[in-house]
Amino acid sequence: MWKSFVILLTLAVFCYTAEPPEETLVLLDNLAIRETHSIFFKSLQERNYKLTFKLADDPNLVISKYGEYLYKNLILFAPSVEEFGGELSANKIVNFIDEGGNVLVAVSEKSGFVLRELASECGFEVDDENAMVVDHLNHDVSDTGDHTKILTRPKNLIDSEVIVGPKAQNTDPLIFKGTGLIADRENPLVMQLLTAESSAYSYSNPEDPVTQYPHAVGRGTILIAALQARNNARVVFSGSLYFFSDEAFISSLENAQGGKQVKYQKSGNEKVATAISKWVFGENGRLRVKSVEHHREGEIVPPTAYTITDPVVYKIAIEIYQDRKWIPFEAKDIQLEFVRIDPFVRMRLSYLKDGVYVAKFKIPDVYGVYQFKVDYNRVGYTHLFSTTQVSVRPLQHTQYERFIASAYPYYVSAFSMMFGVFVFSFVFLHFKEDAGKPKADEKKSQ
Amino acid sequence: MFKILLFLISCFIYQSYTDKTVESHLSAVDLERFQSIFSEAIFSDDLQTLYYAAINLKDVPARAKEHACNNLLSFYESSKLNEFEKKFYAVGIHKAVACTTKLPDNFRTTVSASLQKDSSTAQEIYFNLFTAKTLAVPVDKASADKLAKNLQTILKKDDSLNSLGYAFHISAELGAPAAFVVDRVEDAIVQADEVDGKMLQFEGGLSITALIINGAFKITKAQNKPAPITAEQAVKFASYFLSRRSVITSKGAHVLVEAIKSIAAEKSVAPICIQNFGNGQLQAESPMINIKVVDLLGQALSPSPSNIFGKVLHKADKAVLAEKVSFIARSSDKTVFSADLSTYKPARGSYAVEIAANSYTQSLSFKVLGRVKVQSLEIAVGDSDLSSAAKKHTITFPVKLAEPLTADSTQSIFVKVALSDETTNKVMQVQQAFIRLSHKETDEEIIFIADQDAARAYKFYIDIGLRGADFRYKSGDYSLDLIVGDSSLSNSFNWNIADIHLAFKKEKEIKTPTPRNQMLPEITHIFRQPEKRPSTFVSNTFTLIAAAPLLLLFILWGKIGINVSNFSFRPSVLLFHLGFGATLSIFGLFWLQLNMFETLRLLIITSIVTFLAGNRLLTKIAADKSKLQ
Repeated sequence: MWKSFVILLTLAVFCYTAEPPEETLVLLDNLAIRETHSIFFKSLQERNYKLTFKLADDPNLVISKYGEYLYKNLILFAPSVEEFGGELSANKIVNFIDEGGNVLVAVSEKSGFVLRELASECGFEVDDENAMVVDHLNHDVSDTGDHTKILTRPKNLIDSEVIVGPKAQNTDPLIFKGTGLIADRENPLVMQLLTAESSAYSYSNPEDPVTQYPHAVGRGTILIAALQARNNARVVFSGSLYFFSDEAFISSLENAQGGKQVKYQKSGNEKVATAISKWVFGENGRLRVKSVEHHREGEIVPPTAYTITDPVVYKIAIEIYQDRKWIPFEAKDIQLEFVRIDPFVRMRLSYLKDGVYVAKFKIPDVYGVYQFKVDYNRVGYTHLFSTTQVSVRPLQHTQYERFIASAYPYYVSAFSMMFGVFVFSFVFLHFKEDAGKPKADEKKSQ
Repeated sequence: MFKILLFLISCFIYQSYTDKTVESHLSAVDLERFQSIFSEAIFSDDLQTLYYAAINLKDVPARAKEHACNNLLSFYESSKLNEFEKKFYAVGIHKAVACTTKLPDNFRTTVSASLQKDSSTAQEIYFNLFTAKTLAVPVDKASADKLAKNLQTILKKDDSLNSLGYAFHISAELGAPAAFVVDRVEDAIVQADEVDGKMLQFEGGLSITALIINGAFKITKAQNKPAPITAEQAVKFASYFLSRRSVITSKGAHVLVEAIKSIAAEKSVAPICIQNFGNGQLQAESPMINIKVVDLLGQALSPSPSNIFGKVLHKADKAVLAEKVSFIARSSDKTVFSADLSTYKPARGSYAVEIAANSYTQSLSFKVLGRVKVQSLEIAVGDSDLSSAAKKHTITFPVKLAEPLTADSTQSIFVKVALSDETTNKVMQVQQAFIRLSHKETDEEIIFIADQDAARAYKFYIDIGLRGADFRYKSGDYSLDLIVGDSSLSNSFNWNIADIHLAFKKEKEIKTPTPRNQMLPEITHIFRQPEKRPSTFVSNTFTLIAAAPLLLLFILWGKIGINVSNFSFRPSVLLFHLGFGATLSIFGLFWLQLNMFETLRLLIITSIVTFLAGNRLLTKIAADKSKLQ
């Protein structure tokens, strides 16, 4: 008996480890990029991605067949492509994102029209052709003279460890060479993953004096931007293909204008690029609701309807995807709302254990149809949204308070009236006039 | 027409200037990196990876040797490669690390047997032949002829690049019998694809390109033919291989080094590398151009090039600064040549130098850096409508204004900066002259760019009222910085000029809306408060008053005297009173716990009983009364 159990268990483990690799299409300008960016691609392959390398203008490009996508992820390392080959177009990629596909795009100062179109569909804008990010105060010594091989400190990374990796790890500056991105600050779905230093600007001719206000200037120069669509599809746009290259990963850095010449053994690019790739392809920051339960305090099953002012217990179990499995998620800032059009109650869910959060509160004294709503939307995490509808009814007439001191006059008058009627009717029906008459006469005579 | 001709000529000149030279070479750093790849790969359990590591690693550590020798056969068994490939690698590793363990005896016999039978691919012949060579199995004339014939038939069927590449190697090894293959070299080379007009590669990447180039050089050398590729092609192939220096597999590293060596060895076509030594940025005080002239492997050329001249041009207008500057070899380093430009007094800017070293030419660009000096800086805060004169502060670099300034929305900030060249004192124009205002608490920054006036001084005019939206009307302390930068400056700077307090109209301040992705403020439902109740004394008093009529009834009844003498224990009498009492009690229960439906159900029962009994009772009473009368 236990033998078969062991076999089953090993089978289960085997099935678990033999998870199918994630199909990923990599589109390149030329196949040389596959080798110049080999460290990045190798790290993906080691993480169970099946990369299919194609030229971006390959006439046989197909991403979907019979309405199903052949790939889960798309990497566009083809900055200069003017038009995709085959059936692929910016529109097709937008549809792919709409269906939940993840896309990593790297552009450069010579970006083709199709990538600009894709960028604007995703809420970014790529700076004009030939525009490069220039920083006269923060560039690497290996820069060839136009100060476009810029350095930026990890301080300019987005404040989200889920996307760019732990802060303690990101200590080395990042090297970047490419164009600036522009994003609408008000767009809540767009995130600025990496910006330049204050002294940087993106200008269409890096060799000319700046006379027109640059499209992107200072820390407003976005080097890497990301979009997490409402369907949790993720898109990352990098202004530089060089950022992901082997050369950028392994080069040592030194700020040419640093004053105090600090040399860094290795750029921080590899760590950040790996973290970003983990995020964009959904290895990090994916949340899901495992279970939801609610009931009156002291009970186990939910009632058909709650009564106003009932004490209620709401429990939700949340899991996060990490290292390719779902594990309990622990956070301190998850909130529960009890909503009837507007929220009546909003409170923090306290962590119990094993990813279970609990909230206890008293149902408001207004009846109607309510929802328990958990709407957890944090930078880097997928949008966690869970609603459970319940109805809340008013008190039944027997559930009101019964013996109110100030209402005693009413009770007494009602019951005394009833009692009076009963006694009076008894007396009235059975009164015998004769029996009393002599007595009355006696009284009169007295 | 003339212009077109000129253009064509200039194109031609440009072309000729990049002749036979490449921009980079295989450096010691690359080779060191390859060695580290090999020393890691030597512990691999993949035969191919292990093989390339073993034949390239300079000294194989004892532990690696043990690892390779002891596990060789198990790796051999588990390898998924073709039989002939596996054998080749196993034998190769065995020899390269000099294993003391013996290889199975049947290796030699199977290899010599496989040389005798016809193979189906050139690859198979290649591996068998070279396994035989490693094992020192002699290949006699007859079998060489046989292999050559076999190869010929294979090439007829399959003349793919892969097949040709192996064929070149086989032919170079077999010599005369397979000499016919040399005619195919040209066929193979023309199939190379050009990348960006700068590189040549064969479809399939590094390994196939290296296979063909190595093979082509070998075969032509073996037959004393001229080099298989032209000098121009050699530049492009070399550029391709050099662009692949970042390979990370041991096989890639091996074939890359081999290919570059093959090209470099063929002196008639081998390009050389002429590159800037240093970052190509010269200081104005000592304008010394340093260039590095080496072969593809980073070695000094032999014989050392004697006549290296350069023509220095301004990049912007192509004006010639120096016609023929001579580069002199450094005594300390045979590969570095320098030319002193100080006699030409180059001004700050970008230059190109066209270098000719014997028949090799290369065009490099370099920059002469200048140093900027802040001649003067004035800052003033005044009314925007110019109603009163603004007080000017003059600050010298790099001091910060001692007292903080203040400005409100009716005022403007004026900054005027004159920049000059540190050495010549001439007014200078720079690429970047920005004013940055950053809020001290939120660190929000707003950047303004300068206008230049007639005297080329930089002027900033910031109307606080008008530019309020840029600041989101956020009042507070700002720090004001001047950023001056240029790619031909060696001292670009960020100077914190002053602190300034800006005051905007408070009501205009744009509050950043609470982002969706933060904790929202908590909401607790406020329950309706119960109404205030009168005191118990009042309610008790009124209770008594309400109960008073009933008491009064009994008192008055007591006074007038009542009786129930007509009462009799008849069922109808009892039922009526019980029923009536029950009806009233049900009302009481209704108040306490029953709901309306339960009450009605009970009432139906009691009221029917009461009705019938009451009817009987009243009939009886009426009958009794009429009997009395």
